[in-house]
This record gives sequence, structure tokens and C-alpha cells, in this order.
Amino acid sequence: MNNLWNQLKQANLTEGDLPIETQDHKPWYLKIVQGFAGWVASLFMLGFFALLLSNFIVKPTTLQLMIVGIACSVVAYFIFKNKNSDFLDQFALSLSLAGQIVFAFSLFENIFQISTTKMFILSIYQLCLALILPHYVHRLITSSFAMLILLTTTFEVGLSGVGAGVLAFIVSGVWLYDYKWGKKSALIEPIAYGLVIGLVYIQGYILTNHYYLHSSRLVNNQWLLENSSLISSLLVSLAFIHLVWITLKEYKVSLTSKEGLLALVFCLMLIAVSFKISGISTGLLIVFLGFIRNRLILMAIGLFSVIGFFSWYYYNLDLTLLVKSLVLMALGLVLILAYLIFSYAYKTNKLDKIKLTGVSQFRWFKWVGLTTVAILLIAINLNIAKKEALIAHGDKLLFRLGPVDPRSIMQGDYMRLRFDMAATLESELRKLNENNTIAKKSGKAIVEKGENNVVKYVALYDNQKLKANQYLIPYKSDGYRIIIVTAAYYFQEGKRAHYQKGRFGEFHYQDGEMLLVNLVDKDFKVL
Amino acid sequence: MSISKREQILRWSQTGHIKEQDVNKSLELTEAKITPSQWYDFISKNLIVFGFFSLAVGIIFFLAYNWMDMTTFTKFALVQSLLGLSVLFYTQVKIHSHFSTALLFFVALLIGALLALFGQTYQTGKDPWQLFMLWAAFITPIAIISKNSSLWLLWLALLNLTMYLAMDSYSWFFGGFFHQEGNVIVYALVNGFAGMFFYFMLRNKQSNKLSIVFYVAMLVAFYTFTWVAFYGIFASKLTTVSLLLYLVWMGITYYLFRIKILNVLLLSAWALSVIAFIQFVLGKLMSDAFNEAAFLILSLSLIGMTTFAIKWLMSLLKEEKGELHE
Repeated sequence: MNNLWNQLKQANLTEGDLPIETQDHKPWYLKIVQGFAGWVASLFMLGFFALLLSNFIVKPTTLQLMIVGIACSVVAYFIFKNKNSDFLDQFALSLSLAGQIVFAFSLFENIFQISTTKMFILSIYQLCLALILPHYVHRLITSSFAMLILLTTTFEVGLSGVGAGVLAFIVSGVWLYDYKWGKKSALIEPIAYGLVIGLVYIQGYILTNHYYLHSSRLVNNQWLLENSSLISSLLVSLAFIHLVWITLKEYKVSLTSKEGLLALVFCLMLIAVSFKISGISTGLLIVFLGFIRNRLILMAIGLFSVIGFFSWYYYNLDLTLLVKSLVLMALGLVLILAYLIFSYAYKTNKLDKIKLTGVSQFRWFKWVGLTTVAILLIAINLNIAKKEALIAHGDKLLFRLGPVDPRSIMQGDYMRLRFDMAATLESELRKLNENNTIAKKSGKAIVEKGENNVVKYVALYDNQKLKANQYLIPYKSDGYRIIIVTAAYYFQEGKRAHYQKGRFGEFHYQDGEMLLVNLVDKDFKVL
Repeated sequence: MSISKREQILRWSQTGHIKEQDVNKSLELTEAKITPSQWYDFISKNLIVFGFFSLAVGIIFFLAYNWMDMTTFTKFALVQSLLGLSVLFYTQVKIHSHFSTALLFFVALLIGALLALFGQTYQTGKDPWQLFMLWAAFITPIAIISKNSSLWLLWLALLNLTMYLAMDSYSWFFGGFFHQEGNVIVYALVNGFAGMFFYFMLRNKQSNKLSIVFYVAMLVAFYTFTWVAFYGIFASKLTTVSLLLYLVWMGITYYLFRIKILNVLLLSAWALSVIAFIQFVLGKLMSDAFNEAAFLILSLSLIGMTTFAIKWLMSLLKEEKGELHE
């Protein structure tokens, strides 16, 4: 730090001795502690106010509530200004937040009559508070809420797309010129973060509402509302391009140079992508902004929004898994290709060159990697062989079905199955216990194969000798229901209607092990 | 925690030591801008990591589609050969680089894809949590050799997912009574142990810098242990065990992060947990007569404790900075 100071002193950019840190800069996590605790405390305060007031018979009027709300923030202002004690500071924070809630309550007495105008008034009030009251965390919380409410109103009038775009430009501008904040940093920084939070919020709102387009109350702005996603994508992409352009100028990179053209290509690709997945460009804008201005928090916010928007979009897309998978794979390959081209274009000695290393040069890391995968592959293939043998050579047993249904996390579409046999077993097991419950342990039951391979329940296994055509099947119990081998049947996405014709589950049995292989319809045809 | 050149210059401009019009010149002079190698690093890292991630997720989706027209043999052959090729490729590239890390991440995701394919093909009826547990087990060595936070984050996520699914299907084990309390204790213990594991294993011996996954695990642990305390106080079944566990955890973490080393971020989480605990106790004591006085006491005590905690933590920060300059 001293060197830095001297460097600047020599260039006459500053003078005097190295300044002592007078201001206490709280790191981000302490601000979170302050903010969160302050917010919870404000809720307790509200509880106190509410219970106190309930003792009086007369209900306060709207105006009275509003005055109380404003008064809280006014008191807080004076406490902040005088910088008395930390305790009073924290108290004032909670007081002002509580006051804002009271103010909001006075506007929206009836929660079903929240008009756009009143929301607008609230957000403007909060923005004023954020500007006036000199407290970092208070500014952050208040401006964030103000933005959330203000942007929600834009949605009501169909201006959400335009709003998002304009906000993207404002956010870029504010953070890009952060070196001009100077003495006003304490005022601008928290509000700037509030703006970013608002931007992420409105972008998320647009994305989620794209799928739940409800009829807007304003008919004349219908077009704007319906195309809000497109509008926001376009405007945000423009903001991004503007950002890239300014950065190129800052680093004195000409547009016709290698880097300049690369940047241009990337921007065009971004516009194309963001029209499909609105929100991506916003997230990338914030990440980029954070990177060029060395703000880790912005980068983190940007990263989370990119991941969040992308995942949400994918989860809700009404296309088959097949198409989605192909798009993702293509995207992956494109990015990897871009990486390779990029690395090749900027070949330096520090690059990770791919040279063929012989086995003798393997460090232990590579051996561990190889061994792990080898063990997995061997284990899996052994198990595959076992299962295939069971399917090929096992005896066929058909269990009657009563099916039931959702999507497994990683394994695709499946049907939940319920076998009649399970119901039979359950009632038999309940008879064994006094209080009609089922023991939580697994066991075996005897079934007899009949016509068409359909099995019938005989008895619970109690070391009896089995007759010909009788099989010992294992079952599991979790205390509530009986499961025979499996409770699910996996099939190709979208083929549910086809498999719903299933009336039997076809198991293959060998040496006490059973595997569900097919579903079979009432004519005993495999589905 | 030392700050960047850029931030230092901006702070001086905030206090007026550098005039507004000189800030840009100062930044340029001291080269507080982003170097080309930083640019290269940023762009290449993101391209390759997202590239492999997207490819792997695409493959997982493809398998989840469960295309009937592709035989079992083909699917298995495809996934297994991809897996084999990737790990072989890994042996040929420079380790601990962006590319090798992304490749290992790809391998880790493919392992999950293979396990899922097996469960899907052979209708084994295995509970989903077993899939995730096996997955976590197999990528443990992969995470170790990668020496990278992102693989450990995946590992930690899988661990938590396993617990979530296991407790869902075995909810009978914890019974209807201590369903929630039992669950939270499991989460707390697992994440707590994971955090400790990361602390002792993943510490950079020279710089003592701690990895992101360590912080994530510890923060989740603090969060869940606070819930353990909550249930210990308000629910009646596992009070002694819960409170004992909570106190032991808080004791250990205080020793490690205040006395052995000084880590203000974790101590902030520690302090917040203690504050919450005291609020719980107060709430419980007043739960019989919950009137306006109770709310007043709760809010004032919260404000008081927060103020005290912030003061304490700020003084610790100064101590930490003092240590750095020695």
C-alpha cells in the first residue's frame, strides 16, 4: 500500500502522508449479518406495535398509520446523522424498516386492492428514503425493495421489457463509471447494488411470466407485454454490446484487430442466444461488468443468475428431452471448439499443450483416475452380464398390476407400479400383528405359477417345502407398503399412454433373484 | 484480507485523497487494470468448463429420454467408451490446468450418467438415493486428484442429495415424532464432518488459503446446527442430544477459527448462530405469556446482540490485518 501511495505521490496525483484508515469498511458478510438481523428485529418491532395498538379499541386511520411510518424513518434519519452509538444505529435501521412496512400497510390496507399507482408511490417513497438516510445497509435494503416494487408496476402497464432494457443501461453506466463516484461512494454503491438486484428480479419475472401469460388489465399495451421477453433481450443485448465497445476503447483495442473481431463475433452470438433464453444476456452482462471493474460480488450475482435462468428455462421448456439434450450437446461442443480455437489463436508457452505422455511418465494422479474408472467399468459390466443372464434364462412370472405416476430425477419418465400381490401381502402381514401394522422387515412369500405364467399368492414363507411350479419371491417392507423388487418401470419419454395398457408386470426369475423386464397387456402381449 | 489496487485507489478517492479527475490517471499509472493474461484466463476457463458441463448434461438428458430405438448395448457402449476415452485423454494433458479440471468434471458427470443408465435399463427398483450415494463414492477419488473446488462442490451436493432422498424414503426410521429433528441432525453432522474434512485436507499449506467448498460446507453446517438447536429448544423429543451436539459444534468451531486460526467470515456465521440461539431461548422462556413486552424484548435483545457482535467482529478484522503486516 505504501508503494502504491508513493507511486501516486511521485506523479503528483496525491500529496501528504499515507492516510490512516479512519473509516471502517465492513466486509460484505458483516453487512449481511447487519441487514438480516436488522430486518428480523424490525419484524419483532412491528409485532410490538401491532399488539400495543390492539389494546386500543379505535383502529388508526390510514393517514395516522402513514404518519407513523414516515415518523419512524425521520427519527432514524436523525439518529444516523448524529452518529451516536452503534446500538442506536442498529436500532434506527430496524426502526426505519419497520416504518416502511407500516407505510406500505397504510397504502394497501386491503391486500386485494393493490393498485399500480399506490405501488408506484411506495417505490418512490422508498427511493427517496434510500437517497436521504445515510446508512449503507439501510440504503441497500431499501433501494432493493424499491426496485422490486417499481419493476412489478412496470409489468402491470406492460412496460416490463422496456423497463428491463433501460435498467440494464443504467446498471452498466453506474458501475462502468465507478471511478467517478469519489466522495459519493457511500451513497451510490449500495443503491447500485439495489439496481442490480432489481435487474435480476425483473429479468426473472419476465422469464417466468413468459410461460404464464395472464391477461393484462391494460388492453392497449398488450403487445408490449406479450413481447416483453423479446424487447428485454434486444435492449439488454444492446447494453452488453455497448459495454464491450467501451471496454475495447478502454484497453485501446481496435475493432479491426483480432481481439476486436472476436469480441464482435461473441456479441452477435450472444444476441442470437439471448433471444431464445432471455435472461442469459442479463446474467452475462452482470458477470462481465463485475469482471472489468473487479467486483467479485457482481460476478457472483451474475453467475448465479445465468445458472438460475438457464436451468429454469430448460426445466420448463415444452420440448422432448431428446431435443433439449441435442441442443445442450451442441452447445457444449461449440463452447469446447471455441476454447480450442481461442487457445490456438493465443498460443503462448504457458498454455497447456497436449503432448503424448507415456505410461512411465504418469504421476499418481493419472493412475488414480484410470483405476477408478477401470473399477467402475469392470463392476458395471459384471453386473450387466449377470442381469442379462437373468433376463435370458430366468423363468417368466407375471404379476397383475394396478399402476399409479412422475419423473425420476435423472432416469427419465417412469410409471409407479403397484402389484395386486403387494396388496394381498399387505393384508396378510397385517393379520399377523395385533395392531394391524406391518413389520418393517423384508421377507419371502410363496407364489404358484398358473395359466399364462400368471402367479397367484399361496402363503408367507415359513420354511415350508416348495412344490413344483411354486416360487419363492422376496419382498421389502418399509412399514407402510410392500414392494416387490421394484415400484417403478422406466420407459421412453412421452410413451406413457402406450404403457398404460399394461396389466401385468413380467418378471424373470432365477435362483431367488427377480428382475422386472416388461409390461404386458391383457392379451399377454409385451408392450 | 488485502484489497486490490483498484479498490484501494477508489477508497482514497472516496476520502478525498485523490481528486476525482485524477482517479482514472491513477488507475492507469499503477496498472490497476486487467492484464491480458487475466483476460485469457477468464475467457478460456469459462469456455471450457461450461462447454464440458453442457455436453455432459446433454448426454444425461439424452439417456433420460430413454430412446427405445437405440439398443441397450449401444447405449452402454457409448457411455462407457466416452468415459474410457475421457479418462485416457486426461492422462495425456497437463494436470491441474483448466482443461484437465473440466475434463475431470466431465468424467464425474459421465459416471453418474452410467449409473443412472444401469438403474434405468435393469429396472432394479433401487431407491434413487443409492444411485447418488454410489455416484458420490466413485467420484471421491476423482475429486481428490482434481484438487479443485468445483468437483468437491459436486461431491458435497451429491452427499446432501443422497441424504435428502434417503430420509425421504426411510422416513419411518426417524418416526413421525422426531422426523424433522432427526433429519436436521443428519444434515448437520454430515456437512459438519465434510467441512472439517475440507479444512484439514484442502488447506493450501503455504498460504493457508481455504477453498470455496470448505466455506460452503461450513456455512451449511452452521445453518443446520442452528436448526438442531431450534428443535432442541422447541420440540421435546431430542432436546439433550440436540443441545449437546450444538454446543460441541460451537465449541470446536470457536477453537478452530478464533484460537487456532483467525477466520472472521466463519466467526460471523458463528456469532449469528449464537444470537439466534439466545433469541430461541428467550422466545421459549416467554412463550407462555406472549404479549407486546415479549416482542419488545426480542427486538431490543436482537439489536443489542447484533451491535455487540459486529463490534467484536470488526475488532477481530483489525487483528487479522495486523497479523498480515507482521
